[in-house]
Amino acid sequence: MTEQNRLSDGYEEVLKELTVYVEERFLPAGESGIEPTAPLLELGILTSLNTTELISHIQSHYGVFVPPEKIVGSNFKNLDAITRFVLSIREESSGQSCPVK
Amino acid sequence: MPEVDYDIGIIGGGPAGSTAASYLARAGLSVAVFEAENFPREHVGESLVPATTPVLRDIGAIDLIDKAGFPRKFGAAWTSAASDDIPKLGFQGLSHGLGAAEIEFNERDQAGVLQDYTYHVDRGQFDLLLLHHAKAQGAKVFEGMRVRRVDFSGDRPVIHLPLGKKDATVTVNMVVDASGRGTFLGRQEKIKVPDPVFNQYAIHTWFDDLDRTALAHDKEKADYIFIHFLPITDTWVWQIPITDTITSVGVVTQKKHVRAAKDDLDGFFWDCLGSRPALRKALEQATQVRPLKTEGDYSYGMKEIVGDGFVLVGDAARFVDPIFSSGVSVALNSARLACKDIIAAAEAGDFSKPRFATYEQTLRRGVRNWYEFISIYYRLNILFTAFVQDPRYRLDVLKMLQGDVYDDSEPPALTAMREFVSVVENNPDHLWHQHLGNLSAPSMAAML
Repeated sequence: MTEQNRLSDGYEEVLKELTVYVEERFLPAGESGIEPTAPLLELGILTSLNTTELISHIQSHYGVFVPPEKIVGSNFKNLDAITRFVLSIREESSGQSCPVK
Repeated sequence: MPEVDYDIGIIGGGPAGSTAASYLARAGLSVAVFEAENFPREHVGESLVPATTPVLRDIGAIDLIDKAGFPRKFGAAWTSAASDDIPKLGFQGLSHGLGAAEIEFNERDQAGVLQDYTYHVDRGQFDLLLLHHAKAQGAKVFEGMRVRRVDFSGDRPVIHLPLGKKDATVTVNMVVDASGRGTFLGRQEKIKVPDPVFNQYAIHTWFDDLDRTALAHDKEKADYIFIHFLPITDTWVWQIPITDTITSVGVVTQKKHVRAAKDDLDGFFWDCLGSRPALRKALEQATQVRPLKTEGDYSYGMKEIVGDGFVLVGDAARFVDPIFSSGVSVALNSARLACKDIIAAAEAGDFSKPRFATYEQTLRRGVRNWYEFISIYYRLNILFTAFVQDPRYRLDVLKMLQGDVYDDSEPPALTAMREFVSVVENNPDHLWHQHLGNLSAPSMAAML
């Protein structure tokens, strides 16, 4: 199985779950339809502080630890990036040799 | 006539002085403690860390303290403004998000500590118990006796005490300055140096019937110490249980903020709390039972903490910032370390400065570690809550929080925290880049 295949495992599922979460928590009531590439930080949907809530959701829902140094714009700029980031840390933490680097 | 009235004269009967008195009296030395106040008296610094436990056991006071009914302190919790919303959004789960964090002392084994908790104390009662204990160990305690000066010009130090219009004099082999933030010898000998970085100020009081669960994620842990970060730069609030119903609350902020509000301290106190609406609301529903008190002149060091015929212990030696409840721990541990050297000096009959070199080295290493920890903590600001949850560093950080700071020349927690700060500092793309605190301490070397 290639790296690309493994990362794409569950992509759609995680993207959907995160989209629903972000829409429910951070959008005004009744609004939805965030595209995977919509710039969440630029639009102000994610702020540096409410990102902490998203991160805690990721940690409890996916059972992973988000290393503080990885809380950077490139990982949180849009739902596509967040999904890939979640998949990559889930992959790392299920890795046999080195759970957390 | 004997050459000295007492082997050791101790200035101050707070925890540092009474602990030193107990150690020395138990070693068979004659000890006199001169305390300016009449105990019990109010004092700030009400939360202990587990590093006090081995010292209390050493001097035979642990059972006394344990049975006194002080609230047991099993851990510490931090909340930030980011966490206010969490309960109302129905947040659930083991993790508290990054706006809040908790740590339990028993997550890490600590040498000499056999219990999972330390204490929150009413310092009036705690200090009184320790002073009585020193008396019971054989120390002579003079309360209401304010030392005027210590004359070091002769062969032996001579302590001058007011007696009517004249001075009474007491000759000793050496003096232990445990005068606290009054820094008696620091001022007399002009060796006190103000800290240029930490110019903090505290405003504090007691509340009755505060709902301590109001801001606790885990209601079971409502009796932890709580550190609430305020959105105001470098400002935080302590919440310390004193009894079942009394809670100590203090705002620590930069002096310049207080100066701007000096005519309306009450207004300032409540405005600060207002930046955390849930906190303010909980406090408004409680009853304030003491007037607001302030603590200024916040941080300082000493050019010398030992000399011919004297050592400084506790706050008389060094005071940084109370963020990690280090005050009583530094008092007790500095007394422990100093007494080791003092007892050896007494056996050798030599009280000259080189006798206290081990104490000086160990204490300076410990307070340097505390100082660095506190500096980086302020720089991390609310990021500390994320950091303390990081499984890679959690136990190292806990070691510092337990007060275990005297052994390592460079505690691993400091290295990790410093590296993390520099990652965030150097990466403008980091989402919390702008949330780093303002305080930094380039001048630390000058202090030590």
